[in-house]
Amino acid sequence: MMPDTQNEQQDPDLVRLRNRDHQAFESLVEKYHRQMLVVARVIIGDSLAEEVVQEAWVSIYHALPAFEGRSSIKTWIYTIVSNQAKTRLRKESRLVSMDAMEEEIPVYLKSERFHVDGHWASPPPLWDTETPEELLENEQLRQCIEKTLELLPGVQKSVFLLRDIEQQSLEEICNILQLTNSNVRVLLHRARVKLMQVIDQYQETGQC
Amino acid sequence: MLKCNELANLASDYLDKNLDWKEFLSIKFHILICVHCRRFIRHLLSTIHVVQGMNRQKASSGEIREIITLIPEKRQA
Repeated sequence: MMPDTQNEQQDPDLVRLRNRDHQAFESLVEKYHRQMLVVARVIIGDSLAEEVVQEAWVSIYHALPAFEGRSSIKTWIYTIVSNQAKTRLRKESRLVSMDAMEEEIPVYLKSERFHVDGHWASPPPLWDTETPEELLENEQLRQCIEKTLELLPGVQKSVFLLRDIEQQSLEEICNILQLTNSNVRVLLHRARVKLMQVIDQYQETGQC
Repeated sequence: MLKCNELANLASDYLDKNLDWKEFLSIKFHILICVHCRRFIRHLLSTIHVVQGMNRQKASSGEIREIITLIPEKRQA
């Protein structure tokens, strides 16, 4: 696994990448390609995302020897794909719907879930299993979560992936996806709550 | 005093420490006395850890090959 920033200068994986080692580059593609597609789709839309990501990989390959490690390699990669997508968007003079906040609000956050005085009308149910380790042991539940993650609206999925999987800062996510800080926080919360609802549902019914 | 519906909307900011100290303390105090909100926060945190513990999606060998063929030096190799 490739560590972040400070230790990267001496990181053998990074040294191999700077030398354009074939296997190291393939591993990089294997690890980040799908996630880059998610990010590109948000900025440029479905039809051009694949092309933009392919162009980004060519740029990344050529720029690797000059990578200075001022940011982590993943932040650098996501910034490149984001910039390529934004440039392409300008060239194509396209309008991609980024009205992220119009996306569906999770049931948990809807007013029906609360009394008029703000207290829970329908409180969170008890879970039989609560620890992440135990929850992860359930293969069927894992599949339910994967499916829900896959079906999240594009912008929500992208924010969740960048924050909770890739551990990017809110500021970096705002730059990559061209969103405001408050929008990123709302989208992240909605994505998390939707995934939590899947576990709720599974614990109650044994199904997705 | 903070209400449950307000807490439900601020829960991620609380876990990510994106709140000012007044909001942070209001939540701390609220979850001391509210079992439902305490559970909501606990379940949300477990959810984040569960997804983080799952395997990340990797590119298929076909996708990797497609990228490699775009790199001129690799194509010649």
